[in-house]
Formats: sequence, C-alpha cells, structure tokens
Amino acid sequence: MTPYAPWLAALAPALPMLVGLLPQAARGAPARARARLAALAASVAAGVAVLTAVACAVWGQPLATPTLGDAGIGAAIYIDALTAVVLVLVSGVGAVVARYSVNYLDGDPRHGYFTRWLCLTLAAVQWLVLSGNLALSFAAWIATSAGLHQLLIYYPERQAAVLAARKKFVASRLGDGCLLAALILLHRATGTLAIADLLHAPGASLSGAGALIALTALLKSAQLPTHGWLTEVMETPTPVSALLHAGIINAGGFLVLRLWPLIAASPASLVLLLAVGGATAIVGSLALPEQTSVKARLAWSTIAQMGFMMMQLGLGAFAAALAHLVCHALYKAYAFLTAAGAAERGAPDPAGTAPRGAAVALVAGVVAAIALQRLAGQDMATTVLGSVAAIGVVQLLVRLAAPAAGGARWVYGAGLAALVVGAYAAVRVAAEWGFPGAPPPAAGAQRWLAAVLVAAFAALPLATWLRPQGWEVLKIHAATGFYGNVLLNRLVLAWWPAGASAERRS
Amino acid sequence: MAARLDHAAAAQPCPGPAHDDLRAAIAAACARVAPLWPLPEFVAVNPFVGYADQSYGATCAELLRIAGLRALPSRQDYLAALGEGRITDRDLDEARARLPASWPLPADPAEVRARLVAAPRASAGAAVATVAEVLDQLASGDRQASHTAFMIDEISRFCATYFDRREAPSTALPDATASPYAAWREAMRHDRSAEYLGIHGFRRIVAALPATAVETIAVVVEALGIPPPAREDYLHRALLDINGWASYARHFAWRDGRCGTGGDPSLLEGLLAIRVAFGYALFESRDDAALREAWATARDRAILAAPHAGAQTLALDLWLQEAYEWGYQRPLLERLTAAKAAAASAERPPAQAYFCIDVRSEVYRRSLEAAWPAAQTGGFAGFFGFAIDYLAQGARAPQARCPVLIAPQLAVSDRLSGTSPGEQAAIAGRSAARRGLAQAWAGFRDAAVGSFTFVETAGPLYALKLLRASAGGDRPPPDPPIDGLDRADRARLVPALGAPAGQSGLPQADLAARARCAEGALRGMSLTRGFARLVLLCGHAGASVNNPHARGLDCGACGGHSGEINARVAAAVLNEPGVRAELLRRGIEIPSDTWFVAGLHVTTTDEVVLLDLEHLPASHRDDVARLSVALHRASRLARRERAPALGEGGRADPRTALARRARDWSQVRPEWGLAGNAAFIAAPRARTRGIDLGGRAFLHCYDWRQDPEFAVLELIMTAPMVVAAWINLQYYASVVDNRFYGSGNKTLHNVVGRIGVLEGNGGDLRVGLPLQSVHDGERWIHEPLRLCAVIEAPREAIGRVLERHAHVRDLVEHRWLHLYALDGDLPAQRYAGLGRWETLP
Repeated sequence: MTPYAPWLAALAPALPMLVGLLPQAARGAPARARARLAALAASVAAGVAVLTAVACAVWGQPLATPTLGDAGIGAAIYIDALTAVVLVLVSGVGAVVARYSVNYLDGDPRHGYFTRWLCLTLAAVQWLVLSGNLALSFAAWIATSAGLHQLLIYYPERQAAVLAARKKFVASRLGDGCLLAALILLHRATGTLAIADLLHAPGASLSGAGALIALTALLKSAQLPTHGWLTEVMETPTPVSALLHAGIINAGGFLVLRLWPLIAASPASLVLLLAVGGATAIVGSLALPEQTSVKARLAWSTIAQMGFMMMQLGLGAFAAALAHLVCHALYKAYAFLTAAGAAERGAPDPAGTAPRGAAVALVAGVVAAIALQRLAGQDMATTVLGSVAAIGVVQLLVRLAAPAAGGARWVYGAGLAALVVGAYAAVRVAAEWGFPGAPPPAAGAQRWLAAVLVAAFAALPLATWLRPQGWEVLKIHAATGFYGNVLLNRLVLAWWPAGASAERRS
Repeated sequence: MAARLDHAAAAQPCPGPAHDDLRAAIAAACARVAPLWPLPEFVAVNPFVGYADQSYGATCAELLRIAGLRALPSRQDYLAALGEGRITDRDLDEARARLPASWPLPADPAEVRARLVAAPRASAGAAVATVAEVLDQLASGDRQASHTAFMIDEISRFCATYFDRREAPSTALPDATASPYAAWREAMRHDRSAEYLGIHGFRRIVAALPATAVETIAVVVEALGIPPPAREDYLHRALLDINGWASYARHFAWRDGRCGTGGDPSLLEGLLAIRVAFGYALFESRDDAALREAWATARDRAILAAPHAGAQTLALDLWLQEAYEWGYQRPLLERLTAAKAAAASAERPPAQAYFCIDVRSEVYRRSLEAAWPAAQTGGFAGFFGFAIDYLAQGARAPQARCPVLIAPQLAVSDRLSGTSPGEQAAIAGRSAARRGLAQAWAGFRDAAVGSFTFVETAGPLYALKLLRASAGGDRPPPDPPIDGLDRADRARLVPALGAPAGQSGLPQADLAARARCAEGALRGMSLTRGFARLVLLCGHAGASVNNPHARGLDCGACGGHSGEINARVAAAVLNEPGVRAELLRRGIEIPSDTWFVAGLHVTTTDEVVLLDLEHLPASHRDDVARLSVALHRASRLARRERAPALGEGGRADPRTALARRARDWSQVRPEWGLAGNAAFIAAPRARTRGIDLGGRAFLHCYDWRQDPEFAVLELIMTAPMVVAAWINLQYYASVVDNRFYGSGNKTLHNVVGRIGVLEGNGGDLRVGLPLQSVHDGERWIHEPLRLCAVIEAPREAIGRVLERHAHVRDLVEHRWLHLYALDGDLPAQRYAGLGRWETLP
C-alpha cells in the first residue's frame, strides 16, 4: 500500500464539496434536482466513511499519510478509531439531513443556496475529522464556521437569526484566535503540525498549547458564558439545527479527543474543562425543564450534554467522552428532525412525583455507588461518572415507583432498569475498546471540583422532588438561562448594532 | 422617576362605576379576538369572527387603520388578476352595482389599472401608536434591540409557561397566581431580563401597578394620556400585538360548547393588562423629553387622523375583490342553473355513498360516480349527526368529536370485541403498565442528570431510528395515541355507545336518544326514502407524520379528528333493529334489506377503507364486493386528478408516491387540504352531478321538498354553512396576510407544549395555516375568495332563517359570504341585503 492510500477516504468530503461548488441552482425544479444530487453525494460519502472505518479496523493501526506541504505544515490524512467513528457519525447524520432537506425545503425561494451551504459545511466537518495535519484542521475549522454562518442567516430578514449568528461569530473568532495561538506554540515547540507526530511529542512541554486547545473547544461547544447563540438558532430551518447539534457542535470535543495526549499532560486544561463543563451541565440541567418550546428544550439539552462531555474530558475519561459524543449526536439528530411531531407525543410530567423515600434512595444510591467503586479500586473518573449514572438510574426507578403504577409495572420496571445498566456498561466497554487511553492521575483541584460536581448532580433531583423554599424563584431565573443570553445580546448589540430597528411585521 | 411613580399610585382610580366606560372598551377589544384551538384539535377558525357585527369592508378598513394590517389581497395580486383576465371588464362592471353608489369609483374599468399602478399600496394613514414602536423609531441606529420584538418575546415566553402549567394537573397553580395578570406580576418581581436589557426599574414599575387587571389598564391609559374615545382602539391594537396568545386564551370560552359567550374574562383581560403594563414600563423607564414628545405626537396623530371613514377608504380594493369573486361565481352559477333538475330515477340505486361536505369529497364523489354510474353519492357534515364524546382505549380524557359549534351528546368508548371481561381487564392492565413505562422512560430522557445516562444508554438505538425514519418507515401516529396495545388487540377495538362509570358527564344513550340521532342524520342528509341495499357512511382523515398541523387535515366536523369513529357509530346505530323500529314510528322506513356500512376516506392518498365488515350479513357480501371494486377505481381517478397539484402527476396511478408522502417525515406538503375552497352548495345532487367543481365546493345534500317545515334548511344554514364560511375565511386570511393570520414558515416551526407553534425562537404564538399549506413555492394554491353559498330552496324560507338567527344574518348581511338561492328552473337569485333579492340576468 502506498503511503498516500488513506487519501482515498477524502472521497467522503470531496463529494459533497463538489456538489456545493457547482453553480448555484435556480429556484424550483433545478433546486429540487440539486438537492437530490446533494442527498446522493452525502449518501455515497457516508458509504465511503463506512468503508474507511472497515479498512481502519482491518488494518489494526492508524493510517497516516505524510504531510503534503512544507515544514510540517500542510495537508495530510490521519485515520484511527476516533477518526473512523466520528467520520461515520458525521457522514451518516449528514446524509440523513441532506435527504431530509430535499422535501423539507422544497419550494423555498433559496433552496439552491441552502443546498450549497449544507454541502460545503458538511464537507468542512468531514475534512476536519479526516485531517492529519493541524494546518488542514485549522482551515477546515474556519470553513465549518463560515459555512454554518451562512446557514444560520439563511433568512437574513429575521433579526433574531442575525443576532444569534453574530453572537456565534464572536465566540467562534475568539475560538479561532485560541486555536491559531495553540498551533503557533505547537509548531515552535515541535517543528511540525502533523498529528501523527504530535501525538508522540513529550506532553509536559506543551501544556500552554493544551490549555489553549481546551479553551478553543469550550468556545466552540456553546459552553458558559458564550452559550447564548445556541438557544436561538431555531431561527433557521430544522435540518440546520440537526446538523449543528449532531455534527458541528462536536468539533470542540473532537479536537480535544484528537489531541488527547496533550490535554492529558496539562492539568490546567483538565481543570478548565472540568470546571466549565461541569458548571454548564448543571446550569443547562436547571434551565432545560423551564423551557416551553420543543426546540429550546433541545438546545438547552445540547448545552447541558456538551457540558457533561467537557466534564468527562476534564476527568480524563476520554473514552467515555467519545461514547457520549456519538450517542448524543444520534439522539439529538433524531430529536430535532422529529421535533415537529412533539405535540402528538405530549410531554411527560416534568417533575415526577416527590416521595421522601426517593430522596433517601437517591442519597443511598450515590453513596453506595461511590463506596463500591472505591472498594473496587476504580479511578476518580469512573467513580464520578458511575455516581452520575447511579443518580440517573435512581431517577428512573423513582418514576417507575409512582403510586399510579400497576403491579405489572414493577416487573417491567426491574427489567428496564437492568437493561439500562447493561446498555450503559456495554457502551462503556465498547468505547474503552475503541479508544484506549488511560485517564491521567487526578490532581488535587480536580478532586475537589469532582466532589462538588457530584454533590450538585445529586442535589438537582432532590430539589425537583422536595421543592425547597426559593425553588420557584430560582426556576424563574433558570427559565431565562440565568440572563446569560440577554446580557450577551446587549453586549453584542452595543458593539455591533443590528441596524435600524426592523419591525417583525413590516 | 420616584415622583412619577407616586403620581401613578395616586392616580389609581377606585374601582366602581368610574370604570364602566373603560370596562366597556376592554370588553369590546377582547370581543374582537377569535379563538385558537390547540394543535391536538386544530380546527379552522374564522379569524374575523369577532368582527361579525360590522361589514367586511369596514373591518378591512379598521384593521388597516388600527394596525396597518391588510385583510385584502395586495394590489399587485389584483393587477396580476387583471392581466391574466381572471378579472374582466365585465366582472368589474357587474360588481360595481353591488357597492354603494356613493363610493368614488372610476366610471371606466380601464382607469382601475391606472389607479392601481399609480398607488401600489392603499394608503394606510397612521396606525394606532404603541410605546414600543415609538421607542423603536426613536432608537433606530441607537444600538438597541427592537423593543417591540423583546416585549412580544417576553410576553410570549410568560404565556407559554403560564398556559403550560395551567393545563398540567400536577403543577396546579396556587390561587394567588391563578389569573395570568397576577402570575405575571408575581414573576416580574424576580425576572431581571428587562433590566439587563437596559429597561431601567422595570421590576419596580411593574410592582407599583395595581393588583388587578382592570385597574392596571386604567392606570396605564391614564398615564399614557389616551383620551376615553381612543381607548378602545388603543386596547384593540395592544391585543393585536399578542393576537396568538389572546386567541388561545379566547378558546377556553368556546371549548365547553358555549360559542364564545361564557368563560373566564380574566384570562383575556389579564393578557391585555400584561401587554399594556409592559408598554407602560417601557414608557416609565425613561424620563427624557424626546420620548414624551415622540409618544405624544404619535398618539395624537393616530387619534386625529382617524376619521373612522369606514369601508369607503378601501373602495377601489373592495370593488376589485367583488369583481374577483364574481369572476368565479358567474360561471359557477351559469353551470348550476343550466343543470335541469333531473327527474329522480325510479330505479333503486345499487348503493348510496355519503361523504363529508369537505371539498376533497367533491373530487372523490365525482370519481365514484364515474367509476359506478348507477351509484348515488351524497354529502353531509362528516360527523353524520352523531356528536360524540369519545374515550379512546387507555385515554385519560375524552375527545369531543363534533363541530366546535355544538356540544357532544353521546358518550362513546373503545371496547375490545370478542373478549371476556377477564381478558379485557388483563389487556387493560398490561397496556396501562406499558404506558406507565413509556412515561417513565420519557421522563428519564428529559430529567436533569438522568438525561446524561439516558443518552449514553439509548443513543445507539437512535441510529436505527434515524435510518428507519429516513427510509420512510414511520407511520402516521394514531389519534389519540393508543399505546401499549398489541397490534392484534388494536385491530379489535370497537367504538361502542356508553362510557365506563364516572368517565363521562353525558347520560347513557337509550334507544330514544339513539333513534333521535339517527333520525336527525337521515333527515339532514335528505335520505328518508329510496334507500339502496347498501348505504356507505364515509368519514375522512388526513395522513402525515411529523406535522404539527396534522389535525388540520382531518375532519373539522369531527372537532379536528378523523371521522372514522363517528361513521362507525352512525352505521352501527342505523343497523340496529330497535332503532329502525323506532324510526318507522317517526315516519322513516328503512327497508329490511338495507345495510349501512362505515368507511374512512384517507384524503392524502384518496384510499377508502371499509370498516366493521365482520358484522356484515352474508346477504350483502356481493354488494360490498361491488362497492369495493368501484371504490378502488374511484380512488385511482381521484388520485390522478389531485396528484398533479402536488407535483406527483404523470403516473398512471400515483398511489405509491402519495403513500410515500404520507409517511415522509420531511414532507411539508402531504396534501393540499381544503385549499381552493370557494363555494358551498346545498342542493340535490341532480343539480351538480356531472359538473366538475374542481374540488372547490362544499356539497351538502338538500332537497327542500322533503323538508316541509324547513327545519333542515335552518340546520344547514346555521351549522354546515357557517363552518364552511369559517374554513373559507381561515384560508382567505392565511393567504392575504400569512405573517399575521397564518402561521408562517413550516421549516421554522417550533412547537410550544401541546398548544401551538412559534415561528423560530420567539415571537407571538402563531394562528392559522402554515405558508406551505397555501403556497407551493411558486404561487398561491388558494384564491382568497369569500365563500359563495348557493342554496336550492325558496327565497322566503331562506329569508326566514336569516331573520331568526343573528349570527347567520351577520355573516350574510355584512358580506362575509355571498348568498344565492336557486329555485326550480328559475334564474339564480342573489341576496342583496336587508331582505332584498335580485334576479341574476
């Protein structure tokens, strides 16, 4: 096999990119035909992604090409288990979204424009995943952001869409700056941007670059305090939300996973990821139940889930984070694309019922989980994540134990809880197998943060069940997302006026 | 600031007679709001129902004057219609006579075009001012977000939370915050959003307002300096800002079958108080002279510039509209009068098929008659006279399956056929456990913390769900959702009269009640003699997935649900020997060899399914077989006629393509629904048979010779005709201003609770039809025409109904629809208002 053979995998981004670069189709029938072509290209790209994954599994070790370029800066392909998994995910979701957009946008005056930018954005994400050199990654990173921006202002007459896009623009440019600085630091220290080489570089000397990469990832993933834009991008058609929440938002997490040895060797990055991710997960969990529209719920859910994933990265649980990334993307793509049917399904009772026994069960569950894992000699990451899982299972069991339950419900309930535990373990085992990377030893600050976070995660369901004093008021604040967005709006408007006050009904 | 607050507090008027004028203004403004039903029972509503006491023209003028809304097609549309010859000089000439002679209209139709070109927009004048808009105008370029948008977003967010909690039994609101205004005032003690956006002292200003809605409104209009005569306009304008939520609040008054007369006025008053209080807080948060001055100018300009000239200000547009409508009506009436009332054939038809009056049935009926010329078809409201309160298997609450204008009369619940009580209990227990499990699972999915574990366990399953849905594997969900039953058991569900103890407030339907319903249905269908061996009662339903407005494709006469249950109940009752004996006593003899069979017309695919055939007597198997063959052929003809409009033409039978649309999660146009509707015809089928009405007419069977007391005529004019007008005006309004009267772009829809949709992230709750339901991307699929109602009956009888029923009279006198009478072979008569009829040439 020639060293350049892995470039065959670049067929995956190349196909949608080619369709995106065709002259823009006119409205009506040509736009419909183009959308069908885009769906076909994205589907074939997904097929290429699957074949790439198979090749990667068969080969058994990373497939890397030499860098085409100079001084370690240029284009290369790097395919390992992480690449394979994320490429299949992104291409698969991309194909589903492109197929969906054929009929969904049919008749829209700018359907051709939509198809073009959908293709280009998808291709940019695929390039980012396949890239074997951080220079190419950086280009793909910028292109993803630029493409997404075009999709976010797809209806430029919608003032709220423009405002959201601007907030995202600001966060993205900050992120780009951090990433560029990290790249410069890395190149100075190692003389190369080839990922295959960087993965084996001595990590300790690259701690600064690691922290910048962690910061980049946080800025890209709608983490506090720049989360505001994500809750507003339902100002653009639903398929964009699906691609964004299932594909693009993962870029930050993917970047950290891609360069995980650098992060693992940088305690500062781990603490940053743990603190910001954990705080975002908790704020998101508080805000989510207070949202009334389905898309706002899904957006807050993404913020919380991305926070949780960042927290997992901060714990050094890289395999768990990859599993979370993939699972969340699949769930969220489906949830967005079927959001229109929400009224038919109806919402479950958000709070559940509130027996005091539940509180006892929860505390007992968490304590037992921690004790068991300490006894089994598990590391900190496993202990923390195991406790969170225990909280979740207790929540499920409490719902099943609601007084309205019939007798048969216990039988089903026990089975369901067993299934959940089994599935959780299976996903975890699969992830560890696909992404072997032992968590780094935990620093003191991490331990303290982790303890606080577990306590907060346990307090959340307790508060929803017991409704302590001040809870109703807290919920009023939570419903607004603790004002992060309105403050950000004001800030962005002050620096970047939205122009004349556009009337909604002019 | 403090001084002004004190002033506001001091100005608090005492409750009592001093408020009477204001109360009247509030009531008048609230009465303008049309109801909006939530998505699970989304039915067509006439958005102008609150204006029925004034004329169509005056309403258009008022909406333009108050809110700058244009409730007429645009002048460009009229120009295009003139250019295409859709409006001819003859139409203009003949329509002119129907408008007041005093209106300043050009004598020469040719001048119309010149005037339209000269003024592409009718002059709006100054709309009634709001504080937020004045602030926005002041702030242009001032690096401020739109205050109007912010205000509407914030009120909308509050309303969503409030109504969501109001509906959920487990989160019942404490009494103190039961009314929306009190709840808002309480929430605004804590919510800092407005202040963080730069509206200083928002919480303080709101807290200083009085505790009740009416007193707050009194304080606000006083502080803003709105003189008493202008208050109704101001309040009306304020409600139009939050028309969607106001409409939702309004529907509570209709839901209990009280036709908008009852209900809790504090809901709407509360929303109005919230809206004006918000504007007041914007006003009080600034004390600069610029705002005071700009506000006073804007306020006074609207007050002074409102001469209340009425319809005349839109004379040219109203003329064009009249001509546009006449251009459709003239050929229609010519064809109807040319059709000689054919003598009823003495031969007994092999089958009679009754469908809903829905315009989609017109196509199907024509197709069936083409496929089986010997068969007869008829039209009747799709609930077939059986106003049902339907409790589905496992459902918590019954659904009203009848027009929203009437109250349910019969309780019906699902039974499992062919099972012992023990088995039934076992099945019910099992399905309840499964539903509980599904609820717990959904709660796990959305739980704080639990959702993280959910994602990591269930995530891989979603890969399969994505693939299945993308391949079109999702089925339209049942309505209401029947979960937890095995498929085999689901097929055995039969709707039966009666409800489990304690589940319904309606009395058990005894024989007399059943016979009464049956008699009403048969007389209403003008089917009291000449029964065929087989009578099909065919309800209808749409089929779509992932569609918030799916219920809008269902049967409006069944309360926005499938017509299946009503048809099955009606057929079962009419087959009951006891009922037939009772009917005989009441003068209707159904031959013993007549069998009623229920069917369901799936309008998306134009398939008809026959139901409950296991009870069919052996003697009628051949009849049903013949009917099935004819239906199969008719379905194909109907599909071939309707598919091209969806871009699915060019196939011998587009069945597969249409079925795929019904299961396509990305399909925003599963079918065209009732788009195109323009006429309502109540006449014997002989009058319309053989005429291609293009799926644009509601067809109601009516033979006045069988109706000596004109009781059926009265029923038709007060119910189906009104419902048709509601549907017609919903489509009309969604086309003329989709941004205000329609629900906008489907690709942006964001479902709120089970209530309705937002367009995008915020804004008001949206009413009416989505853009994609009336527009195919190139052109409007629906022509905005007021309904043309044609009734074959003596003029005097029609006139007597108008005299007796104010709400029908309002619709007709105020020209919300056009009314024509056909009588024998005479020329058509046009109702010209105030009891006068004019003979058409």
